[in-house]
Amino acid sequence: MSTTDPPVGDTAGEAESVQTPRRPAYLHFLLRDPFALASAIWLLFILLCATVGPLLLDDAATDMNLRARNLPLGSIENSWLGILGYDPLGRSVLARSIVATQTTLGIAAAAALAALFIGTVVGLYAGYIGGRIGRVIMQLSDIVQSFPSLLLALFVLYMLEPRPLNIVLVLAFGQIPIYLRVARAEVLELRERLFVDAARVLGARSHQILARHIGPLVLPVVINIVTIDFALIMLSESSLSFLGLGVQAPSITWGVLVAQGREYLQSAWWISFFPGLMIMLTTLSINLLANWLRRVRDPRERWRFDRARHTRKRT
Amino acid sequence: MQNYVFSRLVQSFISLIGLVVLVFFMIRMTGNPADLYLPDDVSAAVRQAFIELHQLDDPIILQFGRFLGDLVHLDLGTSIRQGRSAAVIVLEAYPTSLTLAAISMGIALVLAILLGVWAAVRPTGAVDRTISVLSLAGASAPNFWVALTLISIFAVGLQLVPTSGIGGWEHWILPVAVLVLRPLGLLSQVVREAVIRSLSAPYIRTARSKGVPDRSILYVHALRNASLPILTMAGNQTVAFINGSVVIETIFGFPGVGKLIIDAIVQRDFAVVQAAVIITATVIFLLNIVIDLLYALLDPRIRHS
Repeated sequence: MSTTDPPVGDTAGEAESVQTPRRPAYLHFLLRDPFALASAIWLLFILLCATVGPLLLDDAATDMNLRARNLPLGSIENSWLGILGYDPLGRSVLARSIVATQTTLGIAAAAALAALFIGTVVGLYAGYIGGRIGRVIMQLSDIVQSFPSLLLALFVLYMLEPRPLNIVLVLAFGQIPIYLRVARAEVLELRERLFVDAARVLGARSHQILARHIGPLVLPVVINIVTIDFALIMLSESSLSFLGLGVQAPSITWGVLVAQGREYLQSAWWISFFPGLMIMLTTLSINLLANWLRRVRDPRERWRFDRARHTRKRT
Repeated sequence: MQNYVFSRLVQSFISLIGLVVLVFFMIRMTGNPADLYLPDDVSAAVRQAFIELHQLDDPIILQFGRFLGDLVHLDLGTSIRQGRSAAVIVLEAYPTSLTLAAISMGIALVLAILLGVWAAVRPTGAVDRTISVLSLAGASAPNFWVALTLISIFAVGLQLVPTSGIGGWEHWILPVAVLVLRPLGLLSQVVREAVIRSLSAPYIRTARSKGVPDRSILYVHALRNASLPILTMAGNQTVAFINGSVVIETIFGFPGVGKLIIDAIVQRDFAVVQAAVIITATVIFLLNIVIDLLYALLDPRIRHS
């Protein structure tokens, strides 16, 4: 198998672009891709909502006004916040969706980081030390992975209280195997390399080798995963909230808002539609941007972005 | 190969035992069923009788021992709520869920192969970009939100299909439509990537220069080599299906396993939760083994190693 050469024409082109390593001009590429650009703008907007939203709109999101019960879209007589309609207690759907951003993103980010940290550290040790402990760890991770994560979360949250910390831990727990697996696979390959032997000969201890020499090489790989995983965790969190086992009132996340609107589906669809749309657009933007980033970074795909320059260089 | 299957079976069995232990203790930490099933003002004697009837005050180790003993005889206990065998209740719910899963995964797989191959013909072309964005959107949409939106459009607004419940085929349209989305989105991306990768392989060039028609290059030569990643993703999505079905069965009032499990957790019907988890986990493990065997079937390198 190893004797078959890769296609000659392609490698020539690739080699050329590899030989002149230049930092991909991210902004330049971003402006050329309308979907990625739109995603980036939306995510910036969401981040803005998460940081200043609760400060500015907290009152508007909790003020009840029974005269504005279930007012439809475009009810802007009182204030522009009514543009997306009102909920059964006369609270602005727009204001509530914006205020919920902070909790939604906060929980997902905390869970993603916790899973990243725990999974990577355990995976590093499982891969480097290996042996029986490594096998047991992988077996445990298999159990966790083979069990539907949402059911597990339902169990635990029904058992404990659905407090934010518990929610974060439960969401992180289901995602740990992903990082563990990737980190372990990377270590299995890296630990055979010469620089690891060199470090060992120089007297470095296991945890030093892992923290100083192997860890930094594994980090970019797992960080690549965390972006997509963040979107996945956000979806899980909103499912939990929707089933009533997410954050409890008065805290709100997008999933909680969708659940609250469920009873009014016949009379006031906008109550659950817009928070759900926020979830959808945010996960979509994260995925689109991650996809775009992967293509820009990958030299085999990057030429597609600047085909013009590439062909000019070749001729 | 036989060795491999055997070791997988042993591994799955160990995992299953771990899961059983976990579920047994976790579900008992949710609280005492007596608090839920008896009225608040019930006399202490009646409460005591209820607890003794269901052997709820025995030491937990004793309960666990009894549970394991019954399990060895394939007796999964009796539902507190319905007074029937828990295993029967779970098995009654399975056909609904399995049909739902089979229809949705079937549709998702066929559509994903068509769309993915179509996108792979010209990477970054107009078709490819449209399919990419749409498939990402399908994978990113929260399923409960899609379900509610479809209900408000097609059931409440246009009144074409019923909002929930089970009955004729028209009850299946919306749940299937919702459940297809995510696997379809993820699978069509996998198909696209895998087909693009195999299209640049030398054997495709050989086939082309021999004059094999484009259609058969795409759907026979390239797709066959792309089948392993597709299989992996399809398997993962089938397991993840249970997550989706909990939510979707609840929204659409489908009497499947997902709804059964969540109802049983809330009702502290311990035997039913245990039975559902044990049977579901067994199904998942068997599925994983079948997927491994399919790998071997599709890839001669695995078969002969």
